[in-house]
Amino acid sequence: MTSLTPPLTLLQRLDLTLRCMTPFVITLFLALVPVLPLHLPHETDLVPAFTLMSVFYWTVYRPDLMPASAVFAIGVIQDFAAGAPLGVTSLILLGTHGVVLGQRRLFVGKPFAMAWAGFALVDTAATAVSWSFASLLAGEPLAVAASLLQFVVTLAVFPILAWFFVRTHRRVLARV
Amino acid sequence: MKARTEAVFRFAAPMRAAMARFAFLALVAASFLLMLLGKAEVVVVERARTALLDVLAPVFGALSQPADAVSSAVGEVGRIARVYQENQKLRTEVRRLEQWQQAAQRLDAENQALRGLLNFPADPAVHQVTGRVIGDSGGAFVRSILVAVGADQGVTKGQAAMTGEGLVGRVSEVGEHSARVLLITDLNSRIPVLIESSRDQAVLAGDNTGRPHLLYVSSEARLSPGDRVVTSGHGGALPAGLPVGVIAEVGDHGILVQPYVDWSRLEFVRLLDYGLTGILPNLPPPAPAKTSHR
Repeated sequence: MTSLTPPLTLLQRLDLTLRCMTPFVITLFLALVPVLPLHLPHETDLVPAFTLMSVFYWTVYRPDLMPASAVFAIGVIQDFAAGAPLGVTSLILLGTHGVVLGQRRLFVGKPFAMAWAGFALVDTAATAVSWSFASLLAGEPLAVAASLLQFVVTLAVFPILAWFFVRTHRRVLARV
Repeated sequence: MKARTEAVFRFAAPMRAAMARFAFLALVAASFLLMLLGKAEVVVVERARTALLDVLAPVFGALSQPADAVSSAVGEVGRIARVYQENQKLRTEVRRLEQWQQAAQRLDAENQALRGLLNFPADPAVHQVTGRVIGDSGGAFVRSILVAVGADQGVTKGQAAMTGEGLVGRVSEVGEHSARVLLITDLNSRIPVLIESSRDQAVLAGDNTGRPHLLYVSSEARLSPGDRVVTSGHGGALPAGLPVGVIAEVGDHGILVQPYVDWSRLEFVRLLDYGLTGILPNLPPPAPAKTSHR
């Protein structure tokens, strides 16, 4: 194999690796944020599904940097950290990843409203699935109010987080 | 050369797609497997939980400090504005509580004397460990907190967690340097309680809302809003008489209890060691704590 570009130096390779890990690291951090004690009133009801947004965004725009294995790992770590029933979050995130990967052409290069609408659908499905599984694992139907609230807050916060993702995407991953 | 590379590509691309699909399905299956294992409460899963808890505890500890600082600074600003009013209120409160203190001291002395007369053994001395809250549960379906003390400070599963106000919950997982406390509002929380005035017994059951409800209340029990609810000490895991909350509502959706604890201000909790170490074998004696307040 001959290539026109010179081989990368060690520092360059390290730089590249770190840049490529950015989506995973951000998502991992977002998985831990809800557990931080922020002492807001009623905060436990109001935590948006940060990882859902992150997995959605990176699967649409950089699926090569958000493989299924990373999605699975993030879900497991989030459940462990939150003390939630294991496996539910990883299943939801994997489902999101799988569905979005097949439909990403609908969103790439389209106006942001399109991505937001797509995320609304994903959020709806994710809320329904997480409520169903949590109820199933608890053995009784759980209160719907908390799930609905989380759905609404997640949908509302998505543009803010997406803006941050776009910034990161342009700055860190522009030439990767 | 070129033709060969193309052939490799033609073969490799579908191969790779198939592999990716297989990996995806395997991961989905793994999620389901985790769900089953978690539900069955397998020992391995519990070990993994506590191990990860210990790994994450320092991370949360470090991250929660700035969060604490910001939230207390915000609270401080609001408090300065009301400081005069609050001072007046506190003065009247102190005067009222001084009377209560005298009453309590008199009753305590009387209680001691009567206990002596009846040869009634004193309650076992409660050993306390105070831990900083380093994590909230971040989900719609769980109510728990992470505390920065663990087995090395003598924390064991089942201990009561208190604030100055009342019962917070019970220790459900213990790592080496951290522990998870299941709050009394969690769906899986069941605490044996009694109504202080009428001595009626009940079980306090959480339902993930802010106000847990009472189960198994006898039909003759006369309850009314404002009655104090305290732990009954049944089951042996919790000391009797810990304040839990007041009855907020007696109605169609059952009897709701408003806990004393202010959930938005959980910064430190006390873990009460009821002295069960004498019964359980192979338990290390509580190590001399370096950072705990006793």
